[in-house]
Amino acid sequence: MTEYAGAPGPTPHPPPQAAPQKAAPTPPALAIRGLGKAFGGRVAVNGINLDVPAGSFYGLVGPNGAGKTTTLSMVTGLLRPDQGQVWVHDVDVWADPVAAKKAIGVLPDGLRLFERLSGAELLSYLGRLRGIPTEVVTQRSGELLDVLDLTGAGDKLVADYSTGMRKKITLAAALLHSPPLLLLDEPLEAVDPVSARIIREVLHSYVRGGRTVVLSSHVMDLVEDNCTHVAVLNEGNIVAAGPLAQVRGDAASLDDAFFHIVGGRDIAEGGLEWLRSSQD
Amino acid sequence: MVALFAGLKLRLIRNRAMNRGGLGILWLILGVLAAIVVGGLVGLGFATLRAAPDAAPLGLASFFFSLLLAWMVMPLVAFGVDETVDPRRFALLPIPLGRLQRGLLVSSLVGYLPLANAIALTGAAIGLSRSWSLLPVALACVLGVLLMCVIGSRALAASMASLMGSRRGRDLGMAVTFALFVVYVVLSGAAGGARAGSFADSLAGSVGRVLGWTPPGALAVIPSDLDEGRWLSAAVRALIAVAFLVALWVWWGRALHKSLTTIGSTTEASAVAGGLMDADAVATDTRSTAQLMVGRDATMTWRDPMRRLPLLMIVMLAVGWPFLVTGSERSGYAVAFAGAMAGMQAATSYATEGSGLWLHLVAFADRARARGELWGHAIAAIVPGLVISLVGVLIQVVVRDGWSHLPGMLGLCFGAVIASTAAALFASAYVPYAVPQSRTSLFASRVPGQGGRAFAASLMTMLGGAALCIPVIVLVVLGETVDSMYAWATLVLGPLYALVLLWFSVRFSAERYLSRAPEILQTVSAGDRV
Repeated sequence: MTEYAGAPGPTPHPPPQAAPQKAAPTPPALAIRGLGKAFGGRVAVNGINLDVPAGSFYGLVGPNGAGKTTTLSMVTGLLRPDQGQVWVHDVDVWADPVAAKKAIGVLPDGLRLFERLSGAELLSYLGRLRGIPTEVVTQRSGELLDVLDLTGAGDKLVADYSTGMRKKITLAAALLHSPPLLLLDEPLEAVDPVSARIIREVLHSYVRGGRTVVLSSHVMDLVEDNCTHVAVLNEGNIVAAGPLAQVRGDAASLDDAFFHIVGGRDIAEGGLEWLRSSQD
Repeated sequence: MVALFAGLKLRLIRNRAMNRGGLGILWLILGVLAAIVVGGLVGLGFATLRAAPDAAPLGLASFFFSLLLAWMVMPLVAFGVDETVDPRRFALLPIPLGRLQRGLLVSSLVGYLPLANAIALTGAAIGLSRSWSLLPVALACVLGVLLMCVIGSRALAASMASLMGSRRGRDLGMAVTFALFVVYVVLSGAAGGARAGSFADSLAGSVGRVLGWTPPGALAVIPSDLDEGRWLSAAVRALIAVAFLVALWVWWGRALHKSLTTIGSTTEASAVAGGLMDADAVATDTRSTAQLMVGRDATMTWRDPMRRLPLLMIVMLAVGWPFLVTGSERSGYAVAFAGAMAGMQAATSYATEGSGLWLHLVAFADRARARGELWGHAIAAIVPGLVISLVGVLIQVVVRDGWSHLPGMLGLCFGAVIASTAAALFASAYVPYAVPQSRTSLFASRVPGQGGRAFAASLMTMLGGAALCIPVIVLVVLGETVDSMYAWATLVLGPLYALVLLWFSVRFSAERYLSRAPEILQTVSAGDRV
């Protein structure tokens, strides 16, 4: 097994109740302890700890390759961690996957769907696969397709969906069983503005109902405008986490704060001089 | 520019081999050698036609026509697996269309297939040269044939680039593949049954004379026209060939221009889905999960030509193949091969949808549904397999009057269907491998880097299925040699024994899935990137 810098070691991790945020009145919706993953010799996620308060709209931000997708994949049970534990509403995701899968809705980035089913069929199939009665599935699918503006495309095969439509139908599938926690990987990437607005409205309505959303993004404006909390991932480590205002601190924007947290650098004076020249 | 394109193509071939390591280089060398040997042998055969100066032009006219047809069909059947440089890579480079077209032509002439064709056609040129003074003309003619093949194939591929990128285009490709398979089976049967009668000879002669006026066929007849002083006929044939070549060149140019300057819509002409089968099944236990899964598998098999085509081929194998391999009243036993193939359709159960498997991973993790999923895949493979086997065996029994062998035949075929399904499911869970998700041809079935894994899984499915059938085969042999009671025992015990195997396979495979689902997902997701 790969050794992780800063990882808490081989001893069992403390349960979420004994987590750093002891003052939280209710158990966190999501608690991560010492979660780590390496691919070959490269450490993708470096033994991270994180608590996501129930009812929060939590943004997971970081540059490309920071470990956002790897983290969410391990949290959702799609990728086995090398070490660490994950609890969703006190259910250990890897020790009790049957219970955990009922508690989470997932929208991964870049994974395929059952392409030869129509959007309506996909929802019907997945709902019934989860054991939801047919009439309930039918009613919920209809409403979701309507709210997400997919009613007209319900009979189209998923293979023929645009990127925005795919995100929306995947979100519908994630919401179908009404889970208390939604985990969304880049839910608005490559999505047209109209679809993006609809998705944002659905997510806000979901959080207003007391549920929790965790989304990953590298679009700071999106996170700043929508999230109540944020965690900054860089090179597999969480370098800042907490309420949005706390992470932003004195910076003018989350973008500025992020830029300084991850150690970005401005283009040096005199750099790329040739781009400002009219000569070839 | 021309040299640049030829160099680019050579570098592409070399890099592809290098990326596969030592074995890739070995395959490259073997491929070149195979092209030389096959092309040389065919060319040698054509060269011997020089001894039959009257038959050579008509025979080679048919061959040239067939060759052009084969090159034209290739992009439809195996779109995306040829070695040609993709013209869209050059879309943003400031290269004039004419120069790009000439460069692409040269790059298309570099490769195993053009090499084998060039060698074979050189032999054909010798066969067409009644006197050595005609050899330059014959060589020019076969060069024309080669150009027609390459340009025609490229023109069709460029015209169909946007169509073949769509789901409907690929459906069309699959339909053509199936049609070719049917033609192959029918022609194989006809060739086996036909004798060198005068009718066949005269038919071939008539066809050859007609094809001699088609552009590729005309090029085969020009040397003999010149030899016999039929100047006008030779001039008309040359005109036909040149005009066709020019037309192909213009068509290719226009198709190239269109493919480089337009982007096809991926959402156009979407089919309206017909509704999911078994719409009332709700997965609450193993049985209902299996029911739901059968409905989904049946729906998606019906809609996906990549899954539908193997089923159609299995029907052909069950009905047609036994007639070809044996003429005895026991021919129904040959249907067992098709039965085994039907069971093998349950292979790669977790990989069929690529990374779409995540939808199952996040939906359930309980034993009942994991088993139900596998039972569903099994039933979706077994039911059509049993029906096809039954029909295939009955046809053989009726035609060959093999009623006394019916119990043994059915027992073997049913056992083969179910046992091979058991082996296929087991391999799906224990040796999963990725299935290319955007594959546009049946011939592109493996993902780079997983060749060994795919080979091992295929071996496990095929040899495992065959090995599991050994007790049933022993019963069949006893039924044929000792006592017909054993044949009845085969009918009852064969499927029963295979069902027990399947029951164990489902249990073991489901446990494997539950314990290794994330790893299986990682493996099969590699198919998305192809």
